[in-house]
Amino acid sequence: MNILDSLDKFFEEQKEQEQKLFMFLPVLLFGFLSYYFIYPITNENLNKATNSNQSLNKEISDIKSNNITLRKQNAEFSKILKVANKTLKELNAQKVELDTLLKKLQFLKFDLVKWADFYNTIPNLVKKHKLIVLRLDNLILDNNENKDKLFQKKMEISIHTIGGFVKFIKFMNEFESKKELIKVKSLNIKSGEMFITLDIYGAKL
Amino acid sequence: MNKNKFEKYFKKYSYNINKIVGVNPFDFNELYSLEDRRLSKIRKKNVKQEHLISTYIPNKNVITYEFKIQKNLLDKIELYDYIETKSYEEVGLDEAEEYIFKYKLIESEADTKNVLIEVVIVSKKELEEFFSPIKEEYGYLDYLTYPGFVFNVLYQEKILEPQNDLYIYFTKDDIFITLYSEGKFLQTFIIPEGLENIYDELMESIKIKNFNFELFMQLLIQKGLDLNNYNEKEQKLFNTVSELFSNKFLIISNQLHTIIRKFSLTTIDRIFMGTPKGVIPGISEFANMYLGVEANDLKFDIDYNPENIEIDQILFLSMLYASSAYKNDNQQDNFTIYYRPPTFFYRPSGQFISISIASLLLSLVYPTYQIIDTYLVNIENQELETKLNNLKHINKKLKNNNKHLTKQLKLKKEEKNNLLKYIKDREVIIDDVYKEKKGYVPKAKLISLISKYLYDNKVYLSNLSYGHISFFLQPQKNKKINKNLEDKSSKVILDVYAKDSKNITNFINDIIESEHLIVNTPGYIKTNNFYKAKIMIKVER
Repeated sequence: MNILDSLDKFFEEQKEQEQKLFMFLPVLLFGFLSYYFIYPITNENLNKATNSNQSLNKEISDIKSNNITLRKQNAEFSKILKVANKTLKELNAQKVELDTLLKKLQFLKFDLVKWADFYNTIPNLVKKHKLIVLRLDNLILDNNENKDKLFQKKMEISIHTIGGFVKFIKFMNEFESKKELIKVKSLNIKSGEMFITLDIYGAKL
Repeated sequence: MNKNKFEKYFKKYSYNINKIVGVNPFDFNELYSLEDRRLSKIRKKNVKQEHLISTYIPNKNVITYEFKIQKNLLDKIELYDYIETKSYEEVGLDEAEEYIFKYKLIESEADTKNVLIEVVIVSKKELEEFFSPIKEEYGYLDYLTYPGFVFNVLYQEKILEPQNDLYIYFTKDDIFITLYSEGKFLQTFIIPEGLENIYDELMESIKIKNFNFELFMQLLIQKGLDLNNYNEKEQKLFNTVSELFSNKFLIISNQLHTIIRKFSLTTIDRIFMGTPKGVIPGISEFANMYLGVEANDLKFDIDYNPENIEIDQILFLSMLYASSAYKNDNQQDNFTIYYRPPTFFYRPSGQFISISIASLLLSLVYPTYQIIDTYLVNIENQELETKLNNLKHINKKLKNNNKHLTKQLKLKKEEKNNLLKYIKDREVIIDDVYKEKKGYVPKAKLISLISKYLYDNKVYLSNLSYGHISFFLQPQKNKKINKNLEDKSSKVILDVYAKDSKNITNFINDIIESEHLIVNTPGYIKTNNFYKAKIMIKVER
């Protein structure tokens, strides 16, 4: 007797109401199994997939928007960069121009060598103008207060001399006639004695 | 075609009433098929579900019983229950055993008050034992008939016109005699001395070497009871066989007379005689001689059997009868205990399984929809992920580009600032140099000029100072210093003296007249014949 016959026999043995009940059992059973065991899993999976889908779409939307912004920004940056390059080109040209110009002002450059050279010229000038130097003071300024200033006073020389007013004026004129910027800071002439303080300017080139 | 195929699944039963298979009850391997009025022999493997499987119950398994009952009682009793009870009581059936009862009501003109009930009883247990191989082989036996009832189909199918007909069938075990009157079954009686009995008696009379029952049957079918079929040497054999059959016909004749009287029949119109192997030649004369009526061949398959297949006529008629019963939806004479189950959808198990599967499928519809939806969404997600990865890749490139550009811009800005600073610094240098150079008045020249004016005006210099020196315009003797009047800018301060005050004033005038020179003095004083003055000279910028 196969399973169908066994089932037939089973149903034949039942009352009509019981038969209907048994026939309805699979509906309840599978409905219950599906609702309590399968549906939660499939629903959760679908929700996961849907949420993932929404999340991906949002992410795509965000990243698209971000890409558009970045493209715009990059285009803007490229434009600015182009302008900047043009400006730099112009500035470089200006720099070249200035550098050319500044080369001509190299004599204004001040350093210890220059100071030494300058210092060495004083005895020669004194000798040349037949003056007698009683005292020679020299002060190299540290320029701490105006570090950033590229052109400023670098050295101060004080000379106490005797030997005649005219000689002294010529001696003074020698300094003031030099290419370098040498300014008379103070001067005192009294009774054949001359006190002069010179400011020597230099540049950081 | 397709429609038929489709319908097949919704028919209550899978059989086709035009396709009958007959199983020889004495040899279940011997199968016949009757399809579209064509008889053929088939094998087991060719039997399909659409075939109606039929056979008949051998007489040895059947108990017949008859009794009379008043016609007026028929409406008052449950006839089947009555027959069942009466049979158990009077036939001596085993009460522990279950039987199947089929009956025919036979009315007689001679006895109008009563009705004869011919009951056919079959043990269910015997049926189970006997036909279980068929059940095991095919799963069911659609129609199982009693041989006595099968002749009825001859009238139903209009093969014969209803008359008083006698059917005599010689089987191995018995002589099976059935009487029909005007197409209605009257009675069956069995003489338990069949062909095997005749063979045994023959063998007792004549010793023939190697003459077995099969050869005897061949002899009967080929030569039978016709003298012309025997040669001289076989005269003795013919005489013996004739004698033996004469004995049987005498018994038949006696039985027949009893029945004719019993049913008040005036005459027997037709007699049909045969054996499972065919018709015995010359038997018709015997019938005429002993029964008074010339016999016809009990062979009704001629129209169905063009190939002349040898078939037990009772089996053939049972096949026809089964077909007729199914056509007329009449299961009254069906003894089967192995009914064919309805098709799948019509049996409770099928319905239960169908409901179960339908419930299962229905319960899975929404989850399946969700699974498919999930699958589709996941595919879309994969595409979106690919798209997102591409976008991320582009985004990364754009960000890198952006970063690079930002860095470039920063560098350019720094470079620009550096350049601007560089330029500004250089411009400042140039500007400062220019200012300092241009704005500076050489003091040697200034003092030379002052010296010239001093000399020209006979003014003598006692002291010359230059620098950031305070110079007060108010007379010093007051000692009140007005801060507003204090001038700390670079200037030349001269202490001069002259013999005449005019010299000093002329000197001042010369200075005043010089361009770019500013002169100032608090005045002069006379001391020891000299006029002394303090003069301040400034270069105007």
